[in-house]
Amino acid sequence: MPILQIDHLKKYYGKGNMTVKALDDVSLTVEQGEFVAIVGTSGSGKSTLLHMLGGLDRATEGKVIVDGNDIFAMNDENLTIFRRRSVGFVFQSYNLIPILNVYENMVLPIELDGATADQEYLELLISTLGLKEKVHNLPSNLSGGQQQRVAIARALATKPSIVLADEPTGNLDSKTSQEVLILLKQLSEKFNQTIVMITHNEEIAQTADRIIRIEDGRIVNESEAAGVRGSGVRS
Amino acid sequence: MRSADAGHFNRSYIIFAVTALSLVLGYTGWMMSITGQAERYLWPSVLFVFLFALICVLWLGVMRRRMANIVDTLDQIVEGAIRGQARVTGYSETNLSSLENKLIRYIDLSFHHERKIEAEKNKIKELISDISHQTKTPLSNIVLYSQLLAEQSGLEGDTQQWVKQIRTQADKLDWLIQSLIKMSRLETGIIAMHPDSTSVIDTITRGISQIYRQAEQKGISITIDCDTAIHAHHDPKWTSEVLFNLLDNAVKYSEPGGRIHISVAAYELFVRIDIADTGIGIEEDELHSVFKRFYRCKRTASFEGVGIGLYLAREILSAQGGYIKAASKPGQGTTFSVFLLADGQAKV
Repeated sequence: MPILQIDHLKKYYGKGNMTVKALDDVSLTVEQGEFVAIVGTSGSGKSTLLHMLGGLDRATEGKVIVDGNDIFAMNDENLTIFRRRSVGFVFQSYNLIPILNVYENMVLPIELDGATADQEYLELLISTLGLKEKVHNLPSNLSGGQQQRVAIARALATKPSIVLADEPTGNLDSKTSQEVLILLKQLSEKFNQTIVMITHNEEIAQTADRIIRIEDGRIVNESEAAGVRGSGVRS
Repeated sequence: MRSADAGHFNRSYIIFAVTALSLVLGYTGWMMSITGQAERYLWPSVLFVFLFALICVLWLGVMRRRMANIVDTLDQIVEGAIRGQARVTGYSETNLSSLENKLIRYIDLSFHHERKIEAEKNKIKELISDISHQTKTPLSNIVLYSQLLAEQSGLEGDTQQWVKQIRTQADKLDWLIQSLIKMSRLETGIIAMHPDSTSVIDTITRGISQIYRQAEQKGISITIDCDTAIHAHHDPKWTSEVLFNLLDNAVKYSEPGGRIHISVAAYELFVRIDIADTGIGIEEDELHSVFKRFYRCKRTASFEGVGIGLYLAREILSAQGGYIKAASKPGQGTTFSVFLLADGQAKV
C-alpha cells in the first residue's frame, strides 16, 4: 500500500470569474521509502500542494491519504495530533527554537507527544547528520547548514510516516546545499523514510528518486531517477 | 498518546463527580421537602454526601492505579517480547496473558521470516560464487584456443578475422561476467568495504595509473588539483575502481586531444572529487538515468559498453556512505562529482 495517496486534489481560491486554481486535479502516489522531488516555479502550486499534504490547509475537493488516514476527514484537534506524530516538516528557515539546544530541539516533538525517545535511533541520527559534537550547542552557535541538519534530525526523530521538506536548501550556499541533499537521500535509504521535497531548482531535484514537475496547478510530467526502489536492486 | 488519554480520563472524572453530586443533592433536597425541612435530617445527609464523595474518590484512585499498572505491564510485555525475554505474565488464565501469547507468536513469526530471507540470501551468494568459479575455466579455455588458432600459419584473411572476433567476444564475455559478479556481490552485500581514513590523492593516483596509457594514446591530458593533505573515510581499493570507471568513460567519450580535470574540495561532511571531461556530454533528460543498471545513452550507441560502470560506481559509493552525481552540457563535457565521507564522519 502506498504511504501517500493524493486523489484528484483541487484547491481553488476566490469565486466565479476570479477563481484562482492553485491546484487543479492533482493525483499522485508515493511508496514507502521514496524520495520524491516536486519541482515548479513560484506560483505553480507546489507550496499549496505541500500544505495540503501536511494537513496545514484544507482542499476544495479531493482526498489526501497518508498511511491509510484520510486527513481531511479528521477534525482540527485530531489533525494536529496526526501532524505531530506522522508528519515531519523541514522548512527553508529551519524554525528551530533558539532557547533550546540541539538535542532538546530534536526531542521536542517526541516530548510534546508525551512519549519517550528511542535513544539508539537518535544517536544514529545524530551521527549520520554529523552533529555529534554539537548536541549541546544552541542553534545560534551553528552555521546554516548545521541548523538545517538539526531541523532534519527533528523531523525524523518521531519516525514519521512522511517527511515534507519545503525548499530545504533555500537559505544555504551551493556547497552546503549539496551536503544537506546527500544526507536527505541517505537518510531516506537508510531508514526507509519517505521524503517529499519541493524546490524550484532542477539541479537540487536531481538527488531525488523521482521528480514531479508541476505547472499552473497541474502535474506536467514525472521522471524516474536512478536507483528507484523496486528496480530489482533490493528485491 | 499518554497526554491525550489523560485528558480523556480527567473529563470522565468531572462528569462522574458532577453526576454523583447532583444525584446526592437532589436526593437530600427531595428528602427534606418530604420531611418538611426538618433540621435533624440535614446533618445525616451532609455526612452521607461527604462519605459518598470520599468513597467515590478512593474508588477512582484505585481504578486509576490499576489502569496505570495494566499499561505498565503491557509495556513490559511488549519490551520483553521484542527482546525475547521470559514471559511477564507466565501462563495464567487472564486476558493479559493470552494477549502476551499472541504478541510473542506474532514476533516469532516475523523473526522466522527474517531468518528465511537470510537463508535465501545465502543461497544466492553461493550460487554467484559457483557461477563465477565454474565459468572461469571454460572461458579461459576459449581465450586460449582462439589464441592458438590465431597462431596457426596459413589462415586465410577471412578466417583470421573470425578468429580475432572470437577472441574479442570472449574477452568481452569475460569482462561482462566479472562485472555482473561484482555487481551482484555488491548488491547482496557480500563484498565488505573497509573504509578508513585514507589520503584522497593516493586513491586518485591509483585510479589514474590504470587509465594513463589509454589517455596518452588518445592524446588526452589529465590534470589534478588536489591538496595532498586531504583525507577521507573511504575504501581505497574500491574507490579507485570507481574513479577508474569514471576516467575510463571520460577517455572513451572524449575526442582525441581532449582534457580531463580532477579537482578535490573538502566540505564539512564530505570530500568532493570532481572529474570533468570535454567529451560528448549527456542530455539533460538522461542525466538521471545514467546510474541505472544497463542504461546506455542514445548518443553512445556507437561506443562499446554494457552500461554497468556508473551503476557499479554508485553502488560502491553508497556502500561506504558516499554519493555520486553528474552534471553535463551536451557537446561540451560532463562533470561527475564523487562525495566521500569526510574524516570524523564515520557512521556507526
